[in-house]
Amino acid sequence: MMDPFDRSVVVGLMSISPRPGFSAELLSALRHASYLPVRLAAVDHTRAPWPLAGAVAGAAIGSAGAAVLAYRRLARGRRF
Amino acid sequence: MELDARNENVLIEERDDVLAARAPHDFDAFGELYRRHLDRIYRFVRSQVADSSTAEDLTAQIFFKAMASAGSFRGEAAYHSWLYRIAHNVIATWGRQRARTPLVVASLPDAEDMTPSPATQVIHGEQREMVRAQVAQLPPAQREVIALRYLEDFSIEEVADVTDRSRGAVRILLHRARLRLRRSLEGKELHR
Repeated sequence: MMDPFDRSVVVGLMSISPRPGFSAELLSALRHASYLPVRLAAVDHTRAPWPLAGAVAGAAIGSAGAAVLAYRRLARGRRF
Repeated sequence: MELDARNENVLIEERDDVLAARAPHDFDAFGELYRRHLDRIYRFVRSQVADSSTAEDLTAQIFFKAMASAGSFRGEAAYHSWLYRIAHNVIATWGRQRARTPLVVASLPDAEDMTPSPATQVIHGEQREMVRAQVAQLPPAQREVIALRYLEDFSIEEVADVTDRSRGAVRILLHRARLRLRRSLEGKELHR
Protein backbone atom coordinates (compact mmCIF):
# COMPACT_ATOMS: atom_id res chain seq x y z
CA MET A 1 0.00 0.00 0.00
CA MET A 2 1.49 3.32 -1.09
CA ASP A 3 2.01 6.11 1.42
CA PRO A 4 -0.38 9.08 0.69
CA PHE A 5 2.58 11.42 0.29
CA ASP A 6 4.25 9.11 -2.25
CA ARG A 7 0.95 8.68 -4.06
CA SER A 8 0.46 12.44 -4.37
CA VAL A 9 3.97 12.84 -5.85
CA VAL A 10 3.40 10.01 -8.33
CA VAL A 11 0.02 11.39 -9.39
CA GLY A 12 1.38 14.93 -9.65
CA LEU A 13 4.22 13.83 -11.94
CA MET A 14 2.12 11.36 -13.93
CA SER A 15 -0.32 14.13 -14.87
CA ILE A 16 2.28 15.56 -17.28
CA SER A 17 1.82 14.54 -20.90
CA PRO A 18 2.90 15.86 -24.31
CA ARG A 19 0.58 18.18 -26.19
CA PRO A 20 -1.62 16.52 -28.80
CA GLY A 21 0.18 16.25 -32.12
CA PHE A 22 3.70 16.34 -30.73
CA SER A 23 4.18 12.60 -31.00
CA ALA A 24 3.18 12.50 -34.70
CA GLU A 25 5.32 15.56 -35.58
CA LEU A 26 8.43 14.13 -33.99
CA LEU A 27 7.88 10.68 -35.46
CA SER A 28 7.63 12.23 -38.92
CA ALA A 29 10.85 14.22 -38.38
CA LEU A 30 12.59 11.06 -37.19
CA ARG A 31 11.38 9.09 -40.21
CA HIS A 32 12.82 11.69 -42.59
CA ALA A 33 16.12 11.81 -40.73
CA SER A 34 16.42 8.02 -40.84
CA TYR A 35 16.78 7.78 -44.64
CA LEU A 36 20.40 8.87 -45.08
CA PRO A 37 22.16 6.68 -42.48
CA VAL A 38 20.16 3.62 -43.57
CA ARG A 39 21.17 4.10 -47.20
CA LEU A 40 24.82 4.63 -46.35
CA ALA A 41 24.84 1.61 -44.07
CA ALA A 42 23.59 -0.53 -46.93
CA VAL A 43 26.76 0.19 -48.98
CA ASP A 44 29.31 -2.65 -49.15
CA HIS A 45 32.13 -1.75 -46.76
CA THR A 46 34.22 -4.93 -46.83
CA ARG A 47 37.25 -3.25 -48.42
CA ALA A 48 37.61 -0.12 -46.36
CA PRO A 49 35.53 -0.51 -43.23
CA TRP A 50 36.87 2.27 -41.03
CA PRO A 51 36.64 5.26 -43.39
CA LEU A 52 33.15 4.16 -44.36
CA ALA A 53 32.15 3.50 -40.76
CA GLY A 54 33.34 7.02 -39.98
CA ALA A 55 31.36 8.40 -42.89
CA VAL A 56 28.23 6.53 -41.79
CA ALA A 57 28.62 7.69 -38.20
CA GLY A 58 29.32 11.26 -39.37
CA ALA A 59 26.33 11.23 -41.69
CA ALA A 60 24.10 9.82 -38.94
CA ILE A 61 25.19 12.46 -36.43
CA GLY A 62 25.05 15.20 -39.07
CA SER A 63 21.60 14.27 -40.29
CA ALA A 64 20.32 13.94 -36.72
CA GLY A 65 21.74 17.39 -35.95
CA ALA A 66 20.21 18.85 -39.09
CA ALA A 67 16.89 17.25 -38.27
CA VAL A 68 16.95 18.69 -34.75
CA LEU A 69 17.64 22.15 -36.19
CA ALA A 70 14.86 21.76 -38.76
CA TYR A 71 12.53 20.51 -36.06
CA ARG A 72 13.35 23.49 -33.84
CA ARG A 73 12.78 25.88 -36.70
CA LEU A 74 9.40 24.28 -37.38
CA ALA A 75 8.50 24.34 -33.72
CA ARG A 76 9.48 28.01 -33.47
CA GLY A 77 7.27 28.80 -36.44
CA ARG A 78 4.42 26.95 -34.81
CA ARG A 79 4.75 28.74 -31.49
CA PHE A 80 4.49 32.28 -32.85
CA MET B 1 -1.97 -1.99 -46.62
CA GLU B 2 -2.87 -5.37 -45.13
CA LEU B 3 0.82 -6.23 -44.92
CA ASP B 4 1.54 -2.99 -43.06
CA ALA B 5 -1.19 -3.73 -40.53
CA ARG B 6 0.11 -7.28 -40.07
CA ASN B 7 3.67 -5.99 -39.61
CA GLU B 8 2.39 -3.48 -37.06
CA ASN B 9 0.64 -6.22 -35.10
CA VAL B 10 3.81 -8.33 -35.11
CA LEU B 11 5.84 -5.35 -33.84
CA ILE B 12 3.35 -4.59 -31.05
CA GLU B 13 3.85 -8.09 -29.69
CA GLU B 14 7.66 -7.95 -29.76
CA ARG B 15 9.75 -7.30 -26.67
CA ASP B 16 11.80 -4.10 -26.43
CA ASP B 17 15.14 -5.88 -26.80
CA VAL B 18 14.00 -7.67 -29.98
CA LEU B 19 12.83 -4.37 -31.48
CA ALA B 20 16.04 -2.64 -30.36
CA ALA B 21 18.11 -5.26 -32.22
CA ARG B 22 16.13 -4.49 -35.39
CA ALA B 23 16.02 -0.72 -34.89
CA PRO B 24 19.37 0.16 -36.59
CA HIS B 25 18.07 -1.08 -39.96
CA ASP B 26 14.30 -1.08 -39.50
CA PHE B 27 12.59 2.24 -38.88
CA ASP B 28 9.26 0.56 -38.09
CA ALA B 29 10.91 -1.30 -35.19
CA PHE B 30 12.38 1.97 -33.94
CA GLY B 31 8.98 3.64 -34.44
CA GLU B 32 7.32 1.05 -32.22
CA LEU B 33 9.92 1.66 -29.49
CA TYR B 34 9.31 5.39 -29.91
CA ARG B 35 5.54 4.91 -29.47
CA ARG B 36 6.10 2.86 -26.33
CA HIS B 37 8.48 5.26 -24.64
CA LEU B 38 7.70 8.78 -25.86
CA ASP B 39 5.25 9.69 -23.09
CA ARG B 40 7.43 8.49 -20.25
CA ILE B 41 10.55 10.20 -21.62
CA TYR B 42 8.64 13.43 -22.26
CA ARG B 43 7.18 13.30 -18.74
CA PHE B 44 10.64 12.85 -17.26
CA VAL B 45 12.14 15.68 -19.34
CA ARG B 46 9.21 17.98 -18.60
CA SER B 47 9.64 17.40 -14.89
CA GLN B 48 13.25 18.61 -15.22
CA VAL B 49 12.83 21.78 -17.28
CA ALA B 50 10.83 24.98 -16.89
CA ASP B 51 8.71 25.03 -20.05
CA SER B 52 7.11 22.66 -22.52
CA SER B 53 8.95 24.12 -25.57
CA THR B 54 12.30 23.19 -24.03
CA ALA B 55 10.90 19.79 -23.05
CA GLU B 56 9.86 19.17 -26.67
CA ASP B 57 13.27 20.23 -28.04
CA LEU B 58 15.13 18.02 -25.59
CA THR B 59 12.78 15.07 -26.15
CA ALA B 60 13.40 15.43 -29.90
CA GLN B 61 17.17 15.43 -29.30
CA ILE B 62 16.91 12.31 -27.14
CA PHE B 63 15.05 10.33 -29.79
CA PHE B 64 17.30 11.55 -32.62
CA LYS B 65 20.29 10.37 -30.60
CA ALA B 66 18.58 7.08 -29.79
CA MET B 67 17.94 6.54 -33.49
CA ALA B 68 21.43 7.59 -34.62
CA SER B 69 23.10 5.34 -32.04
CA ALA B 70 20.59 2.46 -32.16
CA GLY B 71 23.43 0.11 -33.14
CA SER B 72 25.26 0.79 -29.89
CA PHE B 73 22.49 -0.68 -27.72
CA ARG B 74 23.93 -3.96 -26.41
CA GLY B 75 20.98 -5.17 -24.37
CA GLU B 76 22.97 -5.20 -21.12
CA ALA B 77 20.31 -3.05 -19.49
CA ALA B 78 16.63 -2.60 -20.33
CA TYR B 79 15.95 -0.44 -23.39
CA HIS B 80 14.13 2.17 -21.35
CA SER B 81 17.11 2.44 -18.96
CA TRP B 82 19.31 3.05 -21.98
CA LEU B 83 16.91 5.77 -23.17
CA TYR B 84 16.91 7.39 -19.74
CA ARG B 85 20.69 7.45 -19.81
CA ILE B 86 20.57 9.36 -23.10
CA ALA B 87 17.95 11.66 -21.55
CA HIS B 88 20.18 12.24 -18.52
CA ASN B 89 23.13 13.18 -20.78
CA VAL B 90 21.05 15.46 -23.02
CA ILE B 91 19.56 17.29 -20.02
CA ALA B 92 22.98 17.57 -18.34
CA THR B 93 24.51 19.07 -21.50
CA TRP B 94 21.59 21.47 -21.83
CA GLY B 95 21.94 22.41 -18.14
CA ARG B 96 25.62 23.19 -18.57
CA GLN B 97 24.95 25.34 -21.62
CA ARG B 98 22.38 27.59 -20.03
CA ALA B 99 22.75 30.00 -17.15
CA ARG B 100 21.59 28.63 -13.84
CA THR B 101 18.15 29.97 -13.22
CA PRO B 102 15.67 28.41 -10.79
CA LEU B 103 12.39 27.14 -12.16
CA VAL B 104 9.48 29.42 -11.48
CA VAL B 105 6.00 28.26 -10.66
CA ALA B 106 4.48 30.51 -13.31
CA SER B 107 6.14 28.54 -16.10
CA LEU B 108 4.96 25.10 -15.08
CA PRO B 109 2.85 23.02 -17.47
CA ASP B 110 -0.40 24.71 -18.38
CA ALA B 111 -3.82 23.15 -18.52
CA GLU B 112 -3.52 21.94 -22.12
CA ASP B 113 -0.44 20.00 -21.10
CA MET B 114 -2.49 17.63 -19.01
CA THR B 115 -4.72 14.74 -19.91
CA PRO B 116 -5.99 13.49 -16.59
CA SER B 117 -6.75 9.79 -16.41
CA PRO B 118 -9.22 8.40 -13.86
CA ALA B 119 -6.25 7.63 -11.60
CA THR B 120 -4.95 11.16 -11.69
CA GLN B 121 -8.38 12.57 -10.88
CA VAL B 122 -8.01 11.16 -7.38
CA ILE B 123 -6.08 14.30 -6.55
CA HIS B 124 -7.56 17.63 -7.47
CA GLY B 125 -5.95 19.50 -10.38
CA GLU B 126 -4.66 22.32 -8.19
CA GLN B 127 -3.02 19.84 -5.89
CA ARG B 128 -1.28 18.14 -8.81
CA GLU B 129 0.08 21.51 -9.88
CA MET B 130 1.22 22.16 -6.35
CA VAL B 131 3.14 18.88 -6.28
CA ARG B 132 4.76 19.60 -9.65
CA ALA B 133 5.64 23.13 -8.52
CA GLN B 134 7.34 21.78 -5.41
CA VAL B 135 9.24 19.16 -7.43
CA ALA B 136 10.34 21.93 -9.80
CA GLN B 137 11.79 23.86 -6.85
CA LEU B 138 14.14 21.02 -5.92
CA PRO B 139 17.82 21.26 -6.90
CA PRO B 140 18.42 19.54 -10.32
CA ALA B 141 20.07 16.40 -8.92
CA GLN B 142 17.26 15.82 -6.39
CA ARG B 143 14.64 16.55 -9.02
CA GLU B 144 16.14 13.95 -11.30
CA VAL B 145 16.26 11.12 -8.77
CA ILE B 146 12.73 11.90 -7.55
CA ALA B 147 11.40 11.74 -11.13
CA LEU B 148 13.19 8.47 -11.92
CA ARG B 149 12.09 6.87 -8.67
CA TYR B 150 8.47 8.02 -8.78
CA LEU B 151 7.74 8.00 -12.49
CA GLU B 152 9.53 4.79 -13.36
CA ASP B 153 9.67 3.06 -10.02
CA PHE B 154 13.37 2.53 -10.68
CA SER B 155 15.40 0.79 -7.99
CA ILE B 156 18.30 2.64 -6.31
CA GLU B 157 20.68 0.63 -8.52
CA GLU B 158 18.86 1.63 -11.70
CA VAL B 159 18.78 5.32 -10.71
CA ALA B 160 22.51 5.11 -9.90
CA ASP B 161 23.21 3.52 -13.27
CA VAL B 162 21.20 6.07 -15.27
CA THR B 163 22.59 9.09 -13.44
CA ASP B 164 26.16 7.80 -13.13
CA ARG B 165 26.18 8.19 -9.36
CA SER B 166 26.96 5.81 -6.54
CA ARG B 167 24.10 4.06 -4.79
CA GLY B 168 24.96 5.90 -1.59
CA ALA B 169 24.78 9.27 -3.34
CA VAL B 170 21.39 8.36 -4.84
CA ARG B 171 20.05 7.29 -1.44
CA ILE B 172 21.14 10.60 0.09
CA LEU B 173 19.69 12.67 -2.76
CA LEU B 174 16.42 10.77 -2.55
CA HIS B 175 16.21 11.15 1.21
CA ARG B 176 16.88 14.89 1.04
CA ALA B 177 14.42 15.38 -1.79
CA ARG B 178 11.63 13.47 -0.02
CA LEU B 179 12.28 15.37 3.21
CA ARG B 180 12.16 18.69 1.41
CA LEU B 181 9.00 17.76 -0.48
CA ARG B 182 7.28 16.51 2.65
CA ARG B 183 8.08 19.75 4.44
CA SER B 184 6.94 21.95 1.58
CA LEU B 185 3.73 19.98 1.03
CA GLU B 186 2.92 19.65 4.71
CA GLY B 187 -0.36 21.21 5.72
CA LYS B 188 -1.48 21.66 2.12
CA GLU B 189 -4.27 19.07 2.44
CA LEU B 190 -2.83 16.81 -0.21
CA HIS B 191 -3.90 13.62 1.42
CA ARG B 192 -7.66 14.00 1.40
